[in-house]
Amino acid sequence: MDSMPEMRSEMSQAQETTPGGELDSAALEAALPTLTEKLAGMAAELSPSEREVLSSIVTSSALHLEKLQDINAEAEYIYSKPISAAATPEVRNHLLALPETLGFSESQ
Amino acid sequence: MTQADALPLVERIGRLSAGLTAAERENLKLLLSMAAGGLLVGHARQQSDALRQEALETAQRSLPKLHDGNRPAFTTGIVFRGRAPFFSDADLAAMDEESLACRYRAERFHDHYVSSGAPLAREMALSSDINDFLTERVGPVLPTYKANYLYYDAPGLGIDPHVDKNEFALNVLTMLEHRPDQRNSELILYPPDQEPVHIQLAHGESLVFFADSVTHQRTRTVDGESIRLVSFGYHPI
Repeated sequence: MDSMPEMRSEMSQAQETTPGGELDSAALEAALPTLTEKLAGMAAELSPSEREVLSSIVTSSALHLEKLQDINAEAEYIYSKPISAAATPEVRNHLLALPETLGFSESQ
Repeated sequence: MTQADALPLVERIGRLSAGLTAAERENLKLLLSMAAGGLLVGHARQQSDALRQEALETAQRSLPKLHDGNRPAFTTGIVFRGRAPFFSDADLAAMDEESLACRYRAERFHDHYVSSGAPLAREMALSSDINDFLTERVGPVLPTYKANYLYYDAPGLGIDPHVDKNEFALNVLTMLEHRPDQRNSELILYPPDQEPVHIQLAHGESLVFFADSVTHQRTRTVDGESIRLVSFGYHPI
């Protein structure tokens, strides 16, 4: 496996985590706009075929999140559960809207 | 040509990940894991098969990239499967008993039930035997002090393809009960570039795997089927 430099500083990690070392919901929600900005920056540099693949990923992600939401619409999604689908409503809604945000809505 | 060459977006996502904060990276992981899950269960059918396959492989291969720098190389994501030396018969019996006692307070999460923070399980999570066992195989790890009893004990329970969150990056999953002998529900791992790995754990058998990197699911239970598992989370450092 290739190795990438670990760029997180101890300070930034500390700011984003609870005393127990977990990423807290507020930090995850606050990170959405900057992640979206970085994804948009990456998307702008892609070839048409790469962009198509990224569009498929973003769209499929939104569709799957939507389906999981439909399965258990009454569930309270708290970011303390074991799987990554346990996003807060804000995180979930952001990802549901991401295809459109990134201009991929044509492929939905 | 390497697989990475064949999937240029994997390298781009890897480079993107290297510049993300921990919170941004966790959100990207959610995005990729949901994409892999959606593509595995057949969403976005209006897209061509070739595009969906490339998108799936890209998402699957990108997930481990998010952890580069603190992960050993792996193929299937499985570190160990078998009767783990760190659990004695008495340990298994005690966790079996505690999981039964905790069932009443398990919370429904998607399509299964979870009971977190049981005293014995939490104590087990601190076991130096488990820590030593994992360290020997994957390098230094930290227990996340997360221990969950999982219940799939009604018809139709299961969990769609997903990856685990950070606290269960390295998941030590042990079967406490799966009845009757005629089993329907199974654990399936979807490692990149490989056939799915179908797993039926025997009573007392453990699976240690990189649950935050390999998409996995538990298929649905049928009438009369009941499964109880205990899951411990560790984090490679």
